[in-house]
Amino acid sequence: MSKDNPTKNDVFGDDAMPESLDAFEEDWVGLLAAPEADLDQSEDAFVQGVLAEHAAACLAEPTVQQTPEEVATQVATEQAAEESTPAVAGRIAPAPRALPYAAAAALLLAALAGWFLLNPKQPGTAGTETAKNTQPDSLAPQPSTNTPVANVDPKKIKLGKLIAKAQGTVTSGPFGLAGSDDATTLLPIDGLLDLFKNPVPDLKEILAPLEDEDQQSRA
Amino acid sequence: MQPAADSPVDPLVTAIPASTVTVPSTLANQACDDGQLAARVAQGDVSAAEELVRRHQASVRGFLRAVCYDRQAVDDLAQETFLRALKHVARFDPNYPMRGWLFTIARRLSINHGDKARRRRPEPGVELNQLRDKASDAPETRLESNEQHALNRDMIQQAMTQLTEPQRTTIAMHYQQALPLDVIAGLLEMPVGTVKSHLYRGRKRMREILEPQAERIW
Repeated sequence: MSKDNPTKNDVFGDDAMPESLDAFEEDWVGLLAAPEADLDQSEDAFVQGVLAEHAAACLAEPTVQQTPEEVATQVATEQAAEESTPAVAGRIAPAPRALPYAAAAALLLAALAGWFLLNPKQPGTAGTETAKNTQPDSLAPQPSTNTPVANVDPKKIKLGKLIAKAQGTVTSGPFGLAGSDDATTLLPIDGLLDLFKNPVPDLKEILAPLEDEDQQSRA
Repeated sequence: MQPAADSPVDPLVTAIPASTVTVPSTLANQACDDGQLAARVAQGDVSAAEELVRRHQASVRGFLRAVCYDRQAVDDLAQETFLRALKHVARFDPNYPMRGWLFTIARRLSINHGDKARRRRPEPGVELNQLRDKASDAPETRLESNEQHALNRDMIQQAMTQLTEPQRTTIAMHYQQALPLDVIAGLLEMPVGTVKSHLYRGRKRMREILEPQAERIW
């Protein structure tokens, strides 16, 4: 590396380039650093111009000015976007949790009937509306204190077992309709009506997992 | 932009502690150093913004006169520099010289503008030759001293336009604005040795351009 002909990647040490200027360099550096007497704007005019622009920019930033046409276009665009979304178009059936209680009951009965048709001879397990059975899930017959099948009122259905199961009083076990061989004592029909007169507060929470279980059993 | 790790506070800016006596805001702002002033501007103090602009407008405009291709755009670029600085003043690091921070902004604006200006204007050498011809007029048509002084200054600035951007910037920062080399290195994000290299080549090139006309110029 030559001091007189540095290459592109030269790195100069402290003594490579003289810090002080010679007389010639002093002259032109002095002219370069001389204050400008012929500026286009005076100092006051320049400063006030900067401050005015800055204030205008600060006022303009918080809001975006829109013409009425632009606002209308934006609203129309947003409405079109909402209408095109699947949820608004009703692609998905409302979740069970959103169903009114009467509709929930209809859904429950339909699930009940469907299950029975698909699984007519599933072993039953004991369970009443007052049962506090905490046995783990099992298809094996459980000791039961329920009324034998023959003594079951045909009007009784196993809805109560379904409710009890969802409430955690019965953790497992299929169920059947009243009158079946594996029917167990369940909520009487009067109780069923009462159910809908005074619905279980968390019925919507009950229906959702039951629906999932039904779908799993179908699978 | 990351400031150099050991960047000293701007030696040309004296840190004066703010007075505890209630004084008019103008005087109070004048007593603040750049860091305190920037903090006040960030809080919306208009008088502090005015003081900041007034304190550094000469340096920024002079720097842009030295490095900008388009001399007629100097004040516009200087104004844009301060507008951007005021907008982002909250990001200013008080351990860093305010002038250097402003010069960095100004330099970038000048580079962006210079690309457009170069396409519009004639080659810088043409203007320099015209200035040389004017300076070499017969003695009976000698210009007044102040006019000669202005002509000489224009010639220097025209010669600067024939340097590369790094050479032009480092010369303006070091010799015109008296910024230390390590501060310049931090501002331009290059090693100190590279800064020295640009200064070396810039001074050499300026000598090649101006020396033939030295007797006529000054």
